[in-house]
Amino acid sequence: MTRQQKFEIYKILIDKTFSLFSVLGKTGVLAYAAIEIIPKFAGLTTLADISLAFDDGKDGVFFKPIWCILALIGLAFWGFMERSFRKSKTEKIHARIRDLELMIHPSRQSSGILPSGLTNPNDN
Amino acid sequence: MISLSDMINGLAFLFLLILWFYLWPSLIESVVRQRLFEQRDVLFNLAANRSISFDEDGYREGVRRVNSLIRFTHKATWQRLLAFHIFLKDNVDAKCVPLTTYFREDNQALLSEVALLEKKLSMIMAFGVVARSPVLLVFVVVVMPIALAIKVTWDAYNNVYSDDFNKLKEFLSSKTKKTKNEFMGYALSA
Repeated sequence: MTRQQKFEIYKILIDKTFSLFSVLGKTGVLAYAAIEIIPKFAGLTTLADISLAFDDGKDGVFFKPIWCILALIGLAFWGFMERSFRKSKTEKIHARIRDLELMIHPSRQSSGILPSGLTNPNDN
Repeated sequence: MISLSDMINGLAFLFLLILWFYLWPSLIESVVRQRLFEQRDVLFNLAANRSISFDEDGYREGVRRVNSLIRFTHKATWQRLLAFHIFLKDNVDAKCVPLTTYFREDNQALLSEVALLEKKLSMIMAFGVVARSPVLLVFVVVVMPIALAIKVTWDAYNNVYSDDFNKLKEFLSSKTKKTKNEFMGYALSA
């Protein structure tokens, strides 16, 4: 076996090993956290008081968890929309840039990622 | 009975894990890729402005390197880099030469521009590797400022004082007898 062949085999072995550990580690930690957390809620009730609260200036009650939850949901929704919008915009602009560059340099090389800017599934 | 705060804490922790494992790396990949595209545009503009040719080896090699960095940004983690360095360094036939070696040596302005581009590529990839890893991020934020402060102080100390100490050592160790005027002359020059 030549050095180059050895190099290629080791490269693939290391890459695939780390990919495997990465997937196992991430799903493992998430599953463990879910297993630890979710049973704690099983068969339990909560007397959460989720309501809109208005500060009348006397009781001084201002903060309520509902605002926190709504803000987080809103933030997550905004992040999701912003990112999906960016991806679709990238895809549209990419085509225009590619056409312009091809006019100047017909044998232009592609980076190999998807037009939306995401990793090509074949490279995972 | 379980309190609402416990429920929120549990769900927030799960969300944090998802954020850290999936959303944050994806964001860093996008940022790094965008910066790499900008550097590829720099090369493209050099060729479009006729500073170099599209068919030149340097241009092709530069674009090839940036393209592979863009394509495999998601693979650039410190664990992989470390493993590659340890296990593959003895099995590599071709050494990675600087990009500047592919260009003509007579155009110094172009060479310095290409060298700067190569440094920027390294910095962008270093940022990507560090920002994706919780371990490295903590290390860089906490330890690096201290390490840098020590290094800067040490370098400054060496640059400022080492020559003077060496001169003083030479002066004192020389066998000839020093006159008062010689010593004063040395002290004033130092």
